[in-house]
Amino acid sequence: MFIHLENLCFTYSLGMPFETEVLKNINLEINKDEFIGLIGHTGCGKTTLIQHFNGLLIPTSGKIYVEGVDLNKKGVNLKLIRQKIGLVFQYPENQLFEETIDQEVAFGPRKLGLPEVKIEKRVREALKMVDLDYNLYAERSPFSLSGGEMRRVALASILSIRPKMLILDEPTANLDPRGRDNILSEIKKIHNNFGMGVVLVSHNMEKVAETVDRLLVMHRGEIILDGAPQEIFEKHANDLVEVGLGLPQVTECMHKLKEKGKDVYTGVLTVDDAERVILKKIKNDKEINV
Amino acid sequence: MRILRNISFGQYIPRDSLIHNLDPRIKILSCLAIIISLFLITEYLGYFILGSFVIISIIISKVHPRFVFRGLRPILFIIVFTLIIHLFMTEGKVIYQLGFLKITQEGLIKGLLISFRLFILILTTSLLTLATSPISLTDGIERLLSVFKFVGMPAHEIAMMMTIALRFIPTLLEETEKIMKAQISRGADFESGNIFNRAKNLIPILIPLFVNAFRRADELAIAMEAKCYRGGEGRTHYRELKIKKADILTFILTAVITIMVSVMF
Repeated sequence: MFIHLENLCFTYSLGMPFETEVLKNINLEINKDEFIGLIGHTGCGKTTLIQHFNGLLIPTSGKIYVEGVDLNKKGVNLKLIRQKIGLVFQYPENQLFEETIDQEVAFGPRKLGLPEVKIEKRVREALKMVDLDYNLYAERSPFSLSGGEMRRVALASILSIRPKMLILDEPTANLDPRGRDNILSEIKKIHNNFGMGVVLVSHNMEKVAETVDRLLVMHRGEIILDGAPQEIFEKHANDLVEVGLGLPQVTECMHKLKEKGKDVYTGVLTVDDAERVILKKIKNDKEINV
Repeated sequence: MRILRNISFGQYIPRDSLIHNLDPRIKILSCLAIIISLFLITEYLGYFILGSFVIISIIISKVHPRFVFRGLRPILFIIVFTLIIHLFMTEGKVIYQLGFLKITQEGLIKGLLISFRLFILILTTSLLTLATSPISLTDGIERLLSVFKFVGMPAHEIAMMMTIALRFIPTLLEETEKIMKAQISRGADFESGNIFNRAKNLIPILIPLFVNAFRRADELAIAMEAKCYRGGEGRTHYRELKIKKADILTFILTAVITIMVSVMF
C-alpha cells in the first residue's frame, strides 16, 4: 500500500463565517503501480484531496500514510514525501520561470542536491519521457513554446525528480483534442515503461475512462464509486448520471441499445470495443434465428 | 502560506445597515474629518469621545468587531514599537527604572496618546473599507476627485485604476498561493536558509506571478477595448450617487463632533 487515507476530513476556513466542509470522511488505499482516474464535478474536492497526498494541506481530522509514514506527525520530512509523490498542478505551464528549458527541468533535481552530471542525465531522460528532443529544446526559453509544449516541459520538470507516483490535476484542460490525446498517451507510456503509479484528476469522463485501470468517482466531498471503469459503467451508470457526470458517448450508446431490448454488454470504453461487442451480438442473434 | 489568508485589507463585509447604505462620499469625508481631528487632539477625553463615536458606528454597521480588529493585527507591531520608543526616550519624571532604561511619566502619557491615535485611525479606515463595497468606494472617490478636474485631475482614470487594483488583490493572493504550492511540489523550499537564500528562493514565485499578471492585464485591456471603453469622457453611471437625508444628518453629526473635540481638546 503506497498511499493510505483514514477517515480524512477537511474544512476550509475553519471557525470562520465562510467555513466550508470540502472533504467528508474519505477512506482510500492506493497501490504503487496503479493507474487511477479521479473523476468528479468542479468543486467536488478533487484538488483539495490530492493536495493532502504530499502534505500541502493538513487534514482537519483523519490520517494520511505514505509508505506507512504518517504525514502529519511532527518531524516528518515532507521534502522526502514530495520527492516520492510528484504533484502536477492544473495549468502547470503557469509555474515556469527559468531562462532555458534545461534549467527549468533541472530545478527539481538541483534542489535535491544531485551532482551536475546526474542532473543532466535526468533532464535528458525527463524530456525524452514527454517526447521533447533535448538537442532542439534544451537551450530555448520555456516562454517561447506553444501551450501544449509548455505543459510538457512542466510535466518533465516533475518527472526529473523521479517520483514513484505521479499525480496530475486536469492535465488535459484547455488543450485541443490532439494535444489531449498526446498527453494522455504519454502518461500511459510513462506508467507502462517506468512502472510509475499515476493518479489522473479530471472532471471529464471522456478519454480518461479508457486510459485508466481504476476509477474513483467523487461527489460533494465523498468518494461514491471505486472500481474498474468497465464495472462502474456496467453496474453504476445510473449513479453517474444522477450526480451529473454522465457516461462516455460510446458507453451511453450501449446503454441505449440495452434499453431498446438488445442484451449487450454495457461496460465498453472505446468505439473499437463497442464494435466488437455489437458484431458478436449480431452474430449470436443470427445463430439463434438459424 | 497561512499569512496570505489573514490579509483583511479591502475586504468588504456585506450587511444591511445604516453605515453600509450611506453615500460613499459622506463616508469618505467623515473618515477624513475624524482622521484630521485625531491629529489635532492632545487630550485623553477627546480620544475617548472620538473613539466611542467610532465604536458606536462599528456597532451600528453590524460588522462583527472581529473583522474590524483583525485590521489592527498588521500594525500592532508599529503601535507597540512607538509606545516603547515614547516610554523610554521621553525626558521627564522617572516612574520606573531598570538599569539605564527609564520610564517617564511624560513618556507614558505621550506614548499612550499616540497609540490611541493610531488605534482609532485604523479602526476608522477599516470600518470604511469593511462597510463600503469597493465599487461604491471608488465611485465616491471619483466624484470627490472630479472637483479638481479643472486643474487636470484625471478623476475617472484614477478611480478605474483603483477599482482594478482592488479587484485583483484576491486573485493575485490566490495565484501566489497556488504557485507556491506548485513550486513546493517541485522541491522548492521557502522556510529555511538565511535571508539571502530566502530572497533568492522567491524567484520561482515572482517570475510566474509577474508573467501571469502582465498577461492578465493585456487580456483585460483587450476585453475593455472590445466593450468600447474609452475613458471617463461623457461616461454615465448605472448607479447615480444621491445624497439622502440620512447622509446629511450623518455628515452634520460627524462635523459637529470632530470640530467640537478638535477645538476643545
